[in-house]
Amino acid sequence: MYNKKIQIAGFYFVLPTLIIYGIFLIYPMITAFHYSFFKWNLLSEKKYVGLSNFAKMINDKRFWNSYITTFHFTLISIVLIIILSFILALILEKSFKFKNIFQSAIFIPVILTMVSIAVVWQFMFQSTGILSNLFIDLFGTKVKWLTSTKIAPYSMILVNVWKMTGYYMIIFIAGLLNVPNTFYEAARVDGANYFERLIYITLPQMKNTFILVFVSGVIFSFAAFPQQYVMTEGGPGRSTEVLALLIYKQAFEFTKFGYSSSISVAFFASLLLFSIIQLRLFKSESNL
Amino acid sequence: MLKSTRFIFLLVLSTLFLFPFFWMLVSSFKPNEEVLAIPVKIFPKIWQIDAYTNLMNYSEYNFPRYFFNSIFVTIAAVLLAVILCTTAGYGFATYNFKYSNFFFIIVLSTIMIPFQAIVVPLFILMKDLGLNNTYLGLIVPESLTAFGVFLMRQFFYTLPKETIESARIDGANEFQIFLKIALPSAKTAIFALIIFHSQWVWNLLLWPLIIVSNPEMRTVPQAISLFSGVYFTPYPEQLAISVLACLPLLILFIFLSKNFTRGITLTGIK
Amino acid sequence: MKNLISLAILIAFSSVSFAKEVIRHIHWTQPPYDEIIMGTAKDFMSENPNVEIKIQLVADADMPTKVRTALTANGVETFAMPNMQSPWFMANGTTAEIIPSAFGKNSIQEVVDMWLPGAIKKTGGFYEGKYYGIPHEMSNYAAWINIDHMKKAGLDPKKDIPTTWQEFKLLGKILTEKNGDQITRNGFAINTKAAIFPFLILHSLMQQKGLDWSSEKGLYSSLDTKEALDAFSTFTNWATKDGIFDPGLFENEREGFGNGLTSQFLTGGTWYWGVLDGYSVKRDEVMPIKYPRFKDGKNIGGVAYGYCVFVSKQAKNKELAWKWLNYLENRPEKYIVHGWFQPRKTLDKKLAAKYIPNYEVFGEEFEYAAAIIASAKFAEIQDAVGASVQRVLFEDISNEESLSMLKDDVGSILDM
Repeated sequence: MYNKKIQIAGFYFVLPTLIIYGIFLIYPMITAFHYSFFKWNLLSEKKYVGLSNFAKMINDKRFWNSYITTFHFTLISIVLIIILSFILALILEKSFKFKNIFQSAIFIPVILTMVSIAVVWQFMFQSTGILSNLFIDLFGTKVKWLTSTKIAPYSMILVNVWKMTGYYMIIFIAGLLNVPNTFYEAARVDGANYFERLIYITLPQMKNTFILVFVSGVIFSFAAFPQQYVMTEGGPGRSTEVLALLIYKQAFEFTKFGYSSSISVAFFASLLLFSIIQLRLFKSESNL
Repeated sequence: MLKSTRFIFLLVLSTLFLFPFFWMLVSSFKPNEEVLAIPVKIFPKIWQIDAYTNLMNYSEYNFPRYFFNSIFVTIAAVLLAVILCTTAGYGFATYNFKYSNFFFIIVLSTIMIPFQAIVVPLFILMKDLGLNNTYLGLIVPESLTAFGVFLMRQFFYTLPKETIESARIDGANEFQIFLKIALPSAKTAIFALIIFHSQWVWNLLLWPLIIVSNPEMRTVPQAISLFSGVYFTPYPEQLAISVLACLPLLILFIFLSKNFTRGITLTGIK
Repeated sequence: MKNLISLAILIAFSSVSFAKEVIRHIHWTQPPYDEIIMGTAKDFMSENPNVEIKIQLVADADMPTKVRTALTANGVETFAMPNMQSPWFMANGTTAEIIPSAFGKNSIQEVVDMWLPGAIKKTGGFYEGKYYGIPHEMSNYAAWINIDHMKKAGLDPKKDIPTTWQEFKLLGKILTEKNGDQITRNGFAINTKAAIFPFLILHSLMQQKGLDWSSEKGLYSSLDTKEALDAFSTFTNWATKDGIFDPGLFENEREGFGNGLTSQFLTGGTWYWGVLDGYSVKRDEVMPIKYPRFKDGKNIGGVAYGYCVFVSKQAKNKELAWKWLNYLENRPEKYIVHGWFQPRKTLDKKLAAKYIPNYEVFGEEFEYAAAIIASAKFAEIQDAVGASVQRVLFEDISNEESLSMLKDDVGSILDM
């Protein structure tokens, strides 16, 4: 089976990507990491400062606040997204009347333009907006969607879950349809009920899909940026100042490109660590 | 019994998911006072399209041109992304060449850095290559998606090895196998990639701002942020341009959705 | 064939790029004014056929980033910058000094005298003893009041205009409308999302209390004084104790005021007349007034703000670039009809009085306007000040505590 000549063909398939990614992603990435050892405002001379940017970062309360905010946002988002999109996938896997309409409705937020989303949610969240008024009518209390440091982070999560669920639902549906029918038939013959089949057949068979959803969901949520950038600018207080936003602010508003880069390094290291841990935990034949 | 619960559950959920877009749409047809009126009324008293026609009165904004730019850049970037992701994904999934795992991890690692962190070195590189202020300078970086490579590789794993092997025996070369067997079977995954990546490209704000200086090359999100950053932009106008900005991707989705849903039922992404 | 095509392309390119001197100018966009700028560029080109002016308009908020990246790419000859951001560019040596001969003058002083006294300093064209920019716009922030709301509340818009912060607050209380305990119309409003607005208001309040916020050192050493606490809490109390402001009612105070959802705000300049026309509230329903004062405080008004235009140091032909900027800024009468004030002496004062209603609020008050801090670290300082206000408004942190945190923040920003 193993033919060296054939295997080399694989290299040619990968080559264009390697070249282009190497030039336009990996090289800039290494350069960005390199900046983290310098003090630099884009137009000044780069001044080598060793590890002092990192020392500063460790003692920077704002950085840690950002880190925790991002972690919180990612964790809650991903749990909600996985539960919701998996349940939806279980329901929508079968075909029935109006199924396509429901499926499309839930998918639509995925493809809406981010700036538009920010405009409309902002508009619904403000005190005169429909969400605030709906809550007053229904529960008699006013929810300060974007003007409470306790609630605003959850408003951001709400928007994220709303936006991402449809996408992961589709991935789950595709995964479900890949589970061979014969497994279910055998289980049915053995008299297993729906939940038993779900636990003993579906879930183990869906392992790879879950990993895909989990890993990509974590990475995307961790890098959340446009939503906070457009809707809250990190406020109120610094309750929604996620890491990617802090990286942006330090670089483009405060022109501390060196310091901003050291936060990027921390960001990268965190996700790398996460990937290594998940690799150890879910070691499987086809993943990573 | 079960069926009706399911139906109601889905109905409620779909309504919630669709509501923000619906709200954006109906509000854009209201006059400014009604948009802000309390108590909130769902539908406008009189439907008016003033907000949309007003958009054309801002002589400094060439909205049709911005839409053209965005659509052109998105198509080009997504096309390039599909070519790179399918070939690389296929290469990584079906072959076992020297250092393949190492290369894959290198490519994948780029997913773990936020784009705004590499914008500056990328800009300096583009400038050195003379690509700033060009469509190419916009397109190439926007076509790169390590997640896309990952997605395609995950998909090509499910392609039965026997199919490839028998094609080889029939005398097909490696590229022919990729083109005639692997690609057609990957339709669904490609659609997923197209939809997901096009919305990413469509939404980019920072990169176009930095790489392009010619006002004629503005993209839609840039134009919107410019438009609403200006001191007076009444709500209906803001909502109207927001609705318009969503349309191209909605149309793309409607075009693809038939294939998309059918594709999923046929194959699936693993 | 291929050769022919590439030859044709080469010729096409060379005829464009080698024959003319190109000046790339970056400006911020604001619709009625965009056309004036474009028109001026066109006129300049027809008078100087060997020059091509390429105007690039970007959003106000994106200006610093755009200019910085353009500078790294050697892609900008002239640009506009607000007085809050311009010190960074002057401090980092990216801008070139004024060249008198381009203005047909013999000395820098003569050029400076082409504008109203102090105009270049207050609009941010002056840094550490040198002149780098000429004014494009100048104004000061005023308080705006909806007099229609006043009339409906039985008040007299002539007699009952607030002159002290105490009166400002009381008026705000009268004009605030509530539905149960929910505010449906603010007595006062400010945009809390962007740090700049709390910064501007605090800047004035602090100066009125006799503190010096026009320099980095002055700002830093002011923060632990009793006066600073007074000024700070006067401001934050509007939202926390006095109940005249709900930050969640709307996002943007200019829009909120324009839609009648707030009766007062403090961050509008002369340009706000033009802005108002886009909303439902009419011009005769509102009035700009001088910033109120503290009873026992200094006679200082709203912050002076402005934009200057600059020549970048990398511009090859700096003299020509200054000629272009002088030409660009020589049409104040075109801008004034939209309510936009340029402090060039050639502007007919009668025109200014005619086109800027309540010109006295801005004109007279300008002398008392607080000059904004000239710091290359403005963005960070402003961000820290904004955060100090947000802490009190949204996190129930006391005024004292927030100010002392601000002192730490500013200290580390300035390395003091």
